[in-house]
Amino acid sequence: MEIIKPGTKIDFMKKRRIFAVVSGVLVLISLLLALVYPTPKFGIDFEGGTEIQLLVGKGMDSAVLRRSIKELGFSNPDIVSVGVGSEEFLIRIRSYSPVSESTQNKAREALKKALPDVKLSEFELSPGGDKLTLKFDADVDRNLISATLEKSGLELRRIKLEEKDKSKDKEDEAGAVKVEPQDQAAAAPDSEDEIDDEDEEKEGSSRCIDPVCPRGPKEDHIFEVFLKGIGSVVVEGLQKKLGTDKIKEARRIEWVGPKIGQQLRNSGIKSLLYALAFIMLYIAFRFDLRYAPGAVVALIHDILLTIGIFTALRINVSLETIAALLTIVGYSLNDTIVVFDRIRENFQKMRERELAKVVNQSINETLSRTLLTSLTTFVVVLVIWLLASGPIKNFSFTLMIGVIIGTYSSIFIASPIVVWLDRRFFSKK
Amino acid sequence: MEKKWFWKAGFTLLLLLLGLFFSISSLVPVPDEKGKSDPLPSWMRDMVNGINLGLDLQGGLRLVYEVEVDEAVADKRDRMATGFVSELKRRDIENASWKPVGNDTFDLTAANAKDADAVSDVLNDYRRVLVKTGGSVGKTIRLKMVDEEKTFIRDQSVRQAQETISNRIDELGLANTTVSRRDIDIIVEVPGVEEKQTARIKRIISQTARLEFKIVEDEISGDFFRKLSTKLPEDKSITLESEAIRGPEGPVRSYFLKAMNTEERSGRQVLKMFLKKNAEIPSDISIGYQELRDLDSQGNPTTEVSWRTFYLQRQAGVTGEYIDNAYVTNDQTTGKPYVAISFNRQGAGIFEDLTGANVARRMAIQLDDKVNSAPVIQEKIGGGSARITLGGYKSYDSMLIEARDLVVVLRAGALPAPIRPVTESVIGPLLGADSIRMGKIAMAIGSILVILFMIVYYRVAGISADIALVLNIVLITGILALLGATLTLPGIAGIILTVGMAVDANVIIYERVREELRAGKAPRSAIDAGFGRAFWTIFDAQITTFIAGVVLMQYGTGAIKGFAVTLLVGIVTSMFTAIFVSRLLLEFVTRRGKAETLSI
Repeated sequence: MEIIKPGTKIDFMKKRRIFAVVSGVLVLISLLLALVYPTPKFGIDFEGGTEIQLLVGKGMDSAVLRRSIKELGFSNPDIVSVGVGSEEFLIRIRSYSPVSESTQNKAREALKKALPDVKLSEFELSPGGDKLTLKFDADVDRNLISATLEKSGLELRRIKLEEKDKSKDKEDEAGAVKVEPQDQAAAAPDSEDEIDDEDEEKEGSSRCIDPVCPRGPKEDHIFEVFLKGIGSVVVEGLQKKLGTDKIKEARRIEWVGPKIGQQLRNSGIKSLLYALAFIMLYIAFRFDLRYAPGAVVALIHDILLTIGIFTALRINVSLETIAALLTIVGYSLNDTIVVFDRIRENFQKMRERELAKVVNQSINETLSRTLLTSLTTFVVVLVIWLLASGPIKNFSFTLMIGVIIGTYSSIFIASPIVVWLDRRFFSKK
Repeated sequence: MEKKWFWKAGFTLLLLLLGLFFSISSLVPVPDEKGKSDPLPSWMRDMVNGINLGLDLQGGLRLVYEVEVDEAVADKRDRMATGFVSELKRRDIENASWKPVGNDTFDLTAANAKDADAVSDVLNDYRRVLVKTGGSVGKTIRLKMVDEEKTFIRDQSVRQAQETISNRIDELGLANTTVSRRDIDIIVEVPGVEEKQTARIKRIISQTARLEFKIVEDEISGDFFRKLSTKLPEDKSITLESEAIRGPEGPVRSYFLKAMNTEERSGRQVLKMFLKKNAEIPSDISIGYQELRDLDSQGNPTTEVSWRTFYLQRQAGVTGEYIDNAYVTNDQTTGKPYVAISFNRQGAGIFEDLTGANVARRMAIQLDDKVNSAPVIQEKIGGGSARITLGGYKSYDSMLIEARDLVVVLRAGALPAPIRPVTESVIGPLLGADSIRMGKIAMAIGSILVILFMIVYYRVAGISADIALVLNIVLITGILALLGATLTLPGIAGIILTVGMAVDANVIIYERVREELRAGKAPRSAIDAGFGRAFWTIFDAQITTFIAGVVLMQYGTGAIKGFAVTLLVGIVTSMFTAIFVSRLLLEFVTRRGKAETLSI
């Protein structure tokens, strides 16, 4: 069986200007997209988002949850089961609920007006926009706070919670959580077992299920206000869709920080750059100086175009995408080297002075292999994309794009650059 | 058949068996229930580390810690107050002192009312962070940290804690562990739930690891402790003891309190409560506690544990911040492991000055509120190195583990404030059980398609390529198991890439062989020429990717590293299977060089 008949001759080099222009335009569009939109959207791994600890009924599974959350309009949720029976899930979505500056100011002014005798020394919204911390210099009526805030346009989250058995409810809304000191001492007899009056005080405070809760020592007059953010929207949406017997309640809704810090992100980028540099060195050493830039430009082209497609399609960049990007780079590189190798061989064999002709013949000779490999890979990735769900679907989608771009670039970008460099800098005419 | 062929075939078979051996031991799970017996012998388990599945594929433990931000605030208050007092000292006000009130406030007392000018002068320097508040009486003024500063310290301490914990996890070389933040909580997610492993991780995460070198005020300890002699409890649970210390100006008698552990409380707790109730510790002094074990007549430690006090300077001479490196070494004479630390240049200077100024006095090495040891400074110590001995009553192995863990935390730095475990829960795979299930099915179908394709397109040669492919996967699994690697989704991506490259290598070779056949060569020589020519193509293509993999492994972290490891392993095995093994099989098909045709 043969896909490409031997002796095929397509003049790739003749049309190289067209492809150069097409690629140039595409890369430019990618860059522009990245500038116009707030860069490629980084996923929850990089930026943080809202985490919902959800209590569900028996028999609920992650596939149903994932589908329902997607239908509510939140892409790529992380859904993780907690515990063995899976009656609890951690749901992480990228979005959080920013409260606009004007709403914040309005609420602050309203509070000041409602409480003229008390100084409001702290008014701080959590990064996720779902918790407001207030600090006063004297005692304030909690109901007055909630009434004032609601009137000024903030939506407060009212929790309908019956008192649960305490041991199960360690992580709860008010944050009045405590691992019993005895437990701690038993677990680590060597550890610090200090007795502090402050601790004793904390223990005394019982759970607060009001939207406005006091925090810390009483004389500090600090209150936490729980706001209705995107997390509550998700929970209510799910309840409407699947019923309250399936979706029981949210144990906790809170903003979480990124898993991949700035440092890690930078080290990833740095490692990519180093890798590119070393690859260039190797190619320059094994092949010829004029080959190296072509391979690297093709790689950069691949990465930029893939990111551009991400931005255009509003796909979140997550850990999986990074892995897929790396795979694309490896794949495209492999492709490029195979073509280069044939060029090198033919150049010696053919004694043909004009590089463009050699390149053309080499691409034609390797075309069968290039298409075969790309097709098999593409089919495998396509199958995964069709069947899989969640992160793996995104992963295979990235690979699909990458296979196409990688194959294209090794034929239409890497090799023409070699020819161009040769004409521009190495030509002896 | 040539003799060489059999040698090669034997070698391949041996590798296959080894690969299978290592793969099996990691593919057969250890039974969950205790009663069930392990289908594999225990020596096999011990020998092979096995492949661990990462957080994304298998789930693991989710540990939530709360950073005790108020401790960080109190700590900063202490530093501000001591700074304030020493600033006053520079202005010739000798008798200023301070006393903590709550965690963000302190009372500053200057001896004379006339010093008020100087105090307000210094306060002016601190105006951004400290504010005068009610409760100032006579010579005492009450200073409180401003709210912005407190908010800043709280936020910063959580951020630093997250960073430090990440560093520690990096030092441990744990693959696929995530550390994230939620308000004042730190969430650590560790793959797998193996108890022994997680216990160690938990211990390392939660250790504050604040290392301080403090001079012992033996000379004036008597003034403090002897006053307490009348208040000691009648049941002798606390005793006042003394010891002779060399001292710079001749021998001095140092006093300390000692208490035994009781059923409910440790000796330290007993001492702390006693001091809290009965004594006022001067503001420039802190009390250190050391654990003591009594020895029986044979010199073995008994179970009786007691604690003693040290009368220390409050301000640490040198701290762990200045550590440049830490490592485990063995003591030449006792053979026991200890942790050697070396200070950076700045720390070495401070350490030299500190030891030089305090020859013949004692210096306590305090790790997290526990005095590790308090040796007498024999002479000025230059060069910036010190040693930390370990609780000498344990077995060699447990001391070694303790030493290694200490090295990890010392290298990664101290936590800015203590952290407290809040919850611990077992979580499912991050990718979601549903998507993993479908992912497996999809990958199986994909693989079958590739295998079928190779057979349809290359016939017999395709079958040999498929056999090589299966061997490749066995070898990758075996090597990963041998390395005890953690497999994550990015890791699987690396495997897919290398398997793809192996298929590609076979495609390159076979296309070459076809070219040679078209040129009229006999099957056997077409194979030789095809493999020979294709070898360098494949070599260059794979080596370039290998270089990229090495770089990613060196500079990358977390997910990137996982990808790089499987990529590197996969490249080596796929080169071997695609070039060596599939050639072996094709040579078998065309054996004796008499075959007329080659099915390719």
